Amino acid sequence: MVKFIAGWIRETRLNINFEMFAFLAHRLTGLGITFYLLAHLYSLGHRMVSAESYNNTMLLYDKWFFHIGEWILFLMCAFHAFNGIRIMLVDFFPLTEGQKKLTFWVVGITAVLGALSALFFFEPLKEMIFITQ
Amino acid sequence: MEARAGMWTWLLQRLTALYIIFGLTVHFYVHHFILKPDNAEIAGSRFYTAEQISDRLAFSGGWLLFYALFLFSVAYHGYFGVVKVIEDHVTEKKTVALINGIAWAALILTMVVGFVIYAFLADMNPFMMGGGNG
Repeated sequence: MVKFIAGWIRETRLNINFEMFAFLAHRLTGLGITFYLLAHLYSLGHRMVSAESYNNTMLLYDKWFFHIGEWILFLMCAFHAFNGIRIMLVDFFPLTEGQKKLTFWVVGITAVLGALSALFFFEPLKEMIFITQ
Repeated sequence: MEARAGMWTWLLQRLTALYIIFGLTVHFYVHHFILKPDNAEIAGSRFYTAEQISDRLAFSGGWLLFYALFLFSVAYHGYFGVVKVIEDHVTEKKTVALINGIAWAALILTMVVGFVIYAFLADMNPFMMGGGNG
């Protein structure tokens, strides 16, 4: 794993451009989301113990730092999805020349969605800070 | 033969990606918008209780099909995405075949575990006659 990441860093340094960072970010977000799938199955698996165990696990996740984690996960999914759509568009349509522009659109849409979604994800956090205290 | 297998992997990566975008949108919408629970009085928190989830999933063929396809798509896209990343660095045929075998085994295992968890979430314990595990 360390060897792979070192290889990516070496490749990126040899060929610094915006699309290279998009390529790296696509891989890193993909790996992160795949690991999340396993963690998600583990969490849901508490239902096999009992309904109470499941509810207690979900209650444990309802903390401000997990909400930040959920938001980061949302950002990772959004970037991976939009960048994936960009890759498919370039695969199927003659858009190779405009892919730098498309990459900027991907980052822009992800940033806007990230900002809007923050209002939603941190609503419980706001309540915890401003209402319950 | 190898080129054809590569073509199928490439195509399935794209098809599963499209289903994941659809599935994730539905999953996120259902869980966080239209049925957003307010369980503050029940558990002092905001999440779906096991009972609320089983009410939605129990005896629903539509949700079973939706989540079966969703889990397959996410697991296939994720595991074979990792395989592609590794294949960029490993070229030895035997190692590549081994990694692909591990990915298929992991996919099958994930589907089996996913079905068992789904059955429990839908309150249909597959290990007990008559269902229900409290």
